[in-house]
Amino acid sequence: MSDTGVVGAFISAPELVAATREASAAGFPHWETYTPYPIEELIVEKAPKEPASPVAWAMAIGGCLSAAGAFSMQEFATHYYPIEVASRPLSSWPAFVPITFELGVLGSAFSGVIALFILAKFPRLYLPIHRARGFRRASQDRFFLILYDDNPRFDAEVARAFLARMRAELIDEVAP
Amino acid sequence: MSDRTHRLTIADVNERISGVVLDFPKPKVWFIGFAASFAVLMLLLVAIIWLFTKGVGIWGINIPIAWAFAITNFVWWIGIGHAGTFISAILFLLFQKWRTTINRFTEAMTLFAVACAGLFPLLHLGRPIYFYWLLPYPDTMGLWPQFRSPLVWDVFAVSTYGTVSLLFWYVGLLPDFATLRDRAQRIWVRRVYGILSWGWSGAGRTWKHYEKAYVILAGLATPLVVSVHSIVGMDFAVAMLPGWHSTIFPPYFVGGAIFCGFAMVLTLVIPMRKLYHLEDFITLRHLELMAIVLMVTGWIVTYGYFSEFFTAWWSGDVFERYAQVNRALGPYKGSFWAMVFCNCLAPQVLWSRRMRRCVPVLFAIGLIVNVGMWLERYVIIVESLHRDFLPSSWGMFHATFWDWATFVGTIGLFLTLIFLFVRFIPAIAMAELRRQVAQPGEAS
Amino acid sequence: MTDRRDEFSPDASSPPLEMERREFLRLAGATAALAGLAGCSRQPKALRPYVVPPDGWIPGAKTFYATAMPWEGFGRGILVETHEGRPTKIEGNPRHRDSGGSTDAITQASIRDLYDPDRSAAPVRQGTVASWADFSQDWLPRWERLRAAQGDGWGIVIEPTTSPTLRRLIGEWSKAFPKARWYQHTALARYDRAGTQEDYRFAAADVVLAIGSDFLLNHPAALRYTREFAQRRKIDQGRLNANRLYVIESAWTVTGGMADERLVLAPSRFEPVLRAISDGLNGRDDFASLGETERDFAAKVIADLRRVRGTGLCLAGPEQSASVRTWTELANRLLASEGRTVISGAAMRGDGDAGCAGGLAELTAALNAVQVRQVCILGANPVYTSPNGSEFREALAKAEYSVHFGQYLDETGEGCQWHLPESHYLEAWGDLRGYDGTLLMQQPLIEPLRQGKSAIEMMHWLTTGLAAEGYDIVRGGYSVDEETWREWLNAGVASGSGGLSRGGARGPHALFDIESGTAKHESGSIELVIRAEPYLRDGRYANNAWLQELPRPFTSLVWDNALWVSPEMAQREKLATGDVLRLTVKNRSVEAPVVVVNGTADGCAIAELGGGRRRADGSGKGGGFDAFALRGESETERWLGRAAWERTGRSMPLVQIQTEMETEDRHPIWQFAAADTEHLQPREDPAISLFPTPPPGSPAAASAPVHHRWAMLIDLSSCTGCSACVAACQAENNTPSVGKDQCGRGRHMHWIRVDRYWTDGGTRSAPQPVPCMQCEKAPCELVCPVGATVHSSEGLNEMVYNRCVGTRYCSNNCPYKVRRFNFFDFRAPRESPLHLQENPAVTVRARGVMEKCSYCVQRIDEARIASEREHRPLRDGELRTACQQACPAEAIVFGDLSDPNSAVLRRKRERTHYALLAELNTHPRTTYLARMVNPSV
Repeated sequence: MSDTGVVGAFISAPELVAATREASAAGFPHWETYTPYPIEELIVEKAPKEPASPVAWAMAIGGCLSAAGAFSMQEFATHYYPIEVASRPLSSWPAFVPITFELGVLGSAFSGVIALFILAKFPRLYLPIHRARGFRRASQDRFFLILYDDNPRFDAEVARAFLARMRAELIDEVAP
Repeated sequence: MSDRTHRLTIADVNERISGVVLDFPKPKVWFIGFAASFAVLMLLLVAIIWLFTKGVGIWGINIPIAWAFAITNFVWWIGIGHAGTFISAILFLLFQKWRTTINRFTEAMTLFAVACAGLFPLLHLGRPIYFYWLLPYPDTMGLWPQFRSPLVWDVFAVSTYGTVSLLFWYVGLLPDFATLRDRAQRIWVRRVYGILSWGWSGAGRTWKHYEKAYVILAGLATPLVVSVHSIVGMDFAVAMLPGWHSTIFPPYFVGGAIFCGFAMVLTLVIPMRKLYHLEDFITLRHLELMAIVLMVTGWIVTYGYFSEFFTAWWSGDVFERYAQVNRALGPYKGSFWAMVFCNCLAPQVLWSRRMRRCVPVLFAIGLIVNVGMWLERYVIIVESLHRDFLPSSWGMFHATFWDWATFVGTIGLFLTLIFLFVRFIPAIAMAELRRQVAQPGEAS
Repeated sequence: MTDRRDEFSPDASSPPLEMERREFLRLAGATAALAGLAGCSRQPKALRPYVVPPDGWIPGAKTFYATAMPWEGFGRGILVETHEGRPTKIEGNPRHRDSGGSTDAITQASIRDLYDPDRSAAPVRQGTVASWADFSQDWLPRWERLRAAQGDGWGIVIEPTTSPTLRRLIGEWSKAFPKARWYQHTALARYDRAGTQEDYRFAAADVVLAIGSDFLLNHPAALRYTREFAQRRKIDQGRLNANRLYVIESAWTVTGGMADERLVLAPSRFEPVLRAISDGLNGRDDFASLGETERDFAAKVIADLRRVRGTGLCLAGPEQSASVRTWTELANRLLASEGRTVISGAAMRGDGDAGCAGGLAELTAALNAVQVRQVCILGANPVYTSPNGSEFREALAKAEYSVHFGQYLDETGEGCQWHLPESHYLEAWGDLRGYDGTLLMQQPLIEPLRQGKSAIEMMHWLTTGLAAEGYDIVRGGYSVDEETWREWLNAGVASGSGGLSRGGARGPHALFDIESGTAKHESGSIELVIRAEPYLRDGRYANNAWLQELPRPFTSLVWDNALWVSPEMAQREKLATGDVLRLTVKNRSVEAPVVVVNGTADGCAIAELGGGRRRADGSGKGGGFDAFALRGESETERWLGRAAWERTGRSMPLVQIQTEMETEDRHPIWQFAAADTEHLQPREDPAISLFPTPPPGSPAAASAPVHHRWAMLIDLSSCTGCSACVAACQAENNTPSVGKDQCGRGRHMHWIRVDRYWTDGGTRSAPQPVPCMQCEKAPCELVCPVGATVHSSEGLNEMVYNRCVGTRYCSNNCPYKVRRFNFFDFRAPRESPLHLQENPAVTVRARGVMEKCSYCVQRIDEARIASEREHRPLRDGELRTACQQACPAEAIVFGDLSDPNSAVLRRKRERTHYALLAELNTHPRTTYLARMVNPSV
């Protein structure tokens, strides 16, 4: 799917949310928002249409795997080179719990962040939308909506009109 | 919600906070402070070089007191770190919105404190070049570390803690780096922050994953912070030494850690908000809330002391009893009573609301509690070791110049890092604050 | 490695020995040649370099040679362990009764002196280094003139000796030079009276009354006495045949520490008490002149001595006044102990030799009167050890020609025109007699490292003017055939020698009495008791770092001697340990630091000789105060006196290794009275554990089945706390000395320490040797992060130096605090000759690693290998740890618990068996037998 189209900048989050509610109905099935802070409504309303973030799964699986790995590492180590220590049994599992837990947390955290970076397609230092006028304020105090031009019935003029109707402060076009 | 934040606009947030980094106000003050702390850092350097040349004998340690300053400092620094995680993770999960203005700063504090703490387990080794034998890998004979030893647990706990805190902190920084990238004038500054932000664009999809990752990281950090200091507590609880061998150590170490950490937050935040006029962000209300946490954790610690004495008395064990009595009345009674004053008595002034809202008082209390918590670790470590089971092997510890140099030196390291932090990284989480400013209704 | 120099170790401060390795090997060749000795096929004069090993010489194997060590001129039979011709360790010679295979701390430490870099290396003339050639050039013409003048104006000073050869040579010398005079000087006690010496049989003595006598440490026969005495203290399969020891003394001695009844008296009170006792023995009790405690004590003594007619024994230290010593002789006669528990015979040492012109006083007079113009001082150090050093030094300066011959360029060497190096006793041929009269052969283990000559060679040279080899001189004195001679050398003792010839019976004496002492108490003045330093003796061992760093009994002082005062006096006069007092006797005054020791007679101060050396290198420098200045010339003034004292207001740091001697409601010592032996309840071990107890070596069980379970038992009833075990351990295991400063910081390195606790409210003192307990559930192992201390399949708690990273957690978790840490690099500098003493079977530890007692694992392995080579099981007792082998009281038993009839297992079955801190459930393998005391009821 292309990432070019018509961009509109809004002054406030509610206006943006309103615009996104209309967008699909107005014949713009594919759009994306760029905002200076996460906006609950957007995440919530998009949810049914899109699968939930897999980050949670990544972290759960990563955590369990590394915890299991940690415990078996300790069991293996003590049996691989058996030494008598304070006449404790070789597999003194209570003593292995702390490390198992710590490594579990570590693995989980790493897989979470890696998942995030993959899903967000980081590093991605350039996007066409960066060409849009005033887009630098997307990370500060403006709320951007881009209507993608990847459906055959897309018409830039209609899009501009739609955004204008939604009281976009400034409208621009990102050509391929 | 705070009395003044709602009057702030998103624009204020952006300008004032990123301004601290981009416009670099008050360069003179900054440079003086930085130079001072850097000088102290150099003292640490000298101390370490001397230590590696001569050996740990340059410290006052001996048999029986084989641990003293190094481990005291280690536990103290780790403890300080904990407040950072507590504020940023636990308060986040509890929807304590007031944390947003200080969490960035306290997370930084966590990282730097952990860095200082991490030094000591290395430095205190008799043969520091072989520190890596504690890492989990088989040596040429196929021998691994001895996983039953709490010191190995420490290695994993501290390194995990450091790494996770770093990830948590950095993820939180992504959007703010993007803001700096977009506000910066000079091209190379934009490039640097651009790279640091990995090309963050604030797309809705990214925010979704971001929110998820952030909340779960916070969820992870919460048990982590508890486990780390429990394990540090077990360094002592696992040993059979009277005064160490106590099941209360893990919880009471965690309490103490947060106590100490909040004190450190106060001592750092108060000067900073004054210096950069961030009073409308870090308001009296924030300070007051921290003061309350300080008082609560102070009582946890006090209870810890009490229960130590009680269990010793209740056990009827001659060694345990002597160890406790010796703390209070033995040759080191000075440091014990100083500790009681700092940790148990001093915070009680915060009962009065006037005191809680009086900045100089809070600052003083912060300092006092920091001293007190250092003394607590000193009391636990040195006073338990110096008189254990057999009177024939009792001894005394006298700190040397190098003991102090190493300790003070790490404070230099800590402050140096803090100064670099406020210079180059937004000290308040802008993205979170924006949302809070824009949607006050949602807050608390 | 100059950077190592300043690392606190006294060894490190010593200059390197100018000797190449090659050179050393050449010298070592001497011993390589001795190798054949076992086969009696040795040509003693032939030197073969080790690079071409002789036949039957196994590189790496250790060889033992028998020789003798001089102890104040008396011989002590020893066996010396050598590696490739390098003497490394000294053990006792079982063939010599005075040793019985055991040694004392001084004997153990004397090996270090052999390699001491500070030993004088060349003749020195007026402070400039010269050679033997220079000396003979300078001396021979003078010697010719002296011969012409029949030796007129020539004086020689020697220390009294038992060496038949040396005494023969002196005889020949005085024949050759009839007008010359020879003097004897010893700073320490004479053990004979008018040519007779007393020897005691403690095995036979049921009741012993010791008056100011430290026969368990401070006596030529102390080792034999300790062994015999200890036998009577041991519980054996529940049975006990305890003797009873009464002690009258002014301050703690090792002997006093073993007392069942101890009376603390100022010397001036001895005689009234003794008179009361003799009156009692003579049947008329009169305690009028006695105080409460004195009366009780006297009554008990009288009752007991009366009870055990014939098996009683009274003895007084050689330092005691003539009247006290006479008293004991008469008492023994009255008690019919003569010939039973006390045997008197001809003196072994030549103190009383006819023809001797006297002692130092006479020499000083002669020098001042210019009757003696040429003086040769052999071995002695009179400038330091004479009561009035300065006076003698001036007299010596009057001599027109003065020669000092000794191992160190000491105070006397400095005061003489010539100093000549004397060889160490391990470098020299000679012969000595033990206190028991045994004739001991002294053979060199190595060629002189420092071009020194032996006293025998020197004496021969002075007599004949011809240099001869020590071997020929000694051998020439014995007309035995070669076979017997070699037999003697092998054994170290001359067969058939020994046993005291009965001295002439003294006239009968029905009633005996004692002239009354004069007890006067002046304020500001104090009664002085002067005695030999337990380990430095008269200061001759001041340069021995091992001895300097051996904690002294009762004070646990190291590196300094101090003036003992009683707690009462300290309280009265507001004195604290470390305060420096100025003591004045006659016109001489000394500044001495005070140490407060309980059980010291009030109004008494105890000064130990041997400190404050003015001219000593390395370890000997400084160190305490010089008590010789407090001495008078007369026989009694040598040991007792009065001194005026005043404060200096200063105080100096004294280092005491054990700072707390109270037990603080803990029970490290289990003490029981002999009377209760029958009713003792054995203490069983609380074997409770959360963990299943795997059989020892379980993890390794698959790989190797458990053969042995090593264990140690220490019998506190017989331990006297002499610290021989500590010195032996240091010699065996290459443990460094760290110097006063480091000791003061609590970093001494001894693997076994001798704790001492006051018991019965400080009226008794119990020593307790503490090596590693080798816990079966070792707390140290659990906490080591790298597995550097682990358990062996034989139950040893092993320390793996290579793996240790030095977290010191193990030491924190050791309830017995027996682990030692290398806080610095405590090794001697790389080029130091002291490394030559090191045991090649034991690693020399680097900086930053933990170390501790290993049960002498190198000896275990050696014995195991030997047994495997001979396809036989290890025999119980064939393997002994260093501490066990040295212990004269045989208080330490080591062995294998899985051997059903091992001695250690048998001893551990005693009713009095207990483990230290058993309540901690560490299951120590080292355990104790309770301390027996036998107070009279």
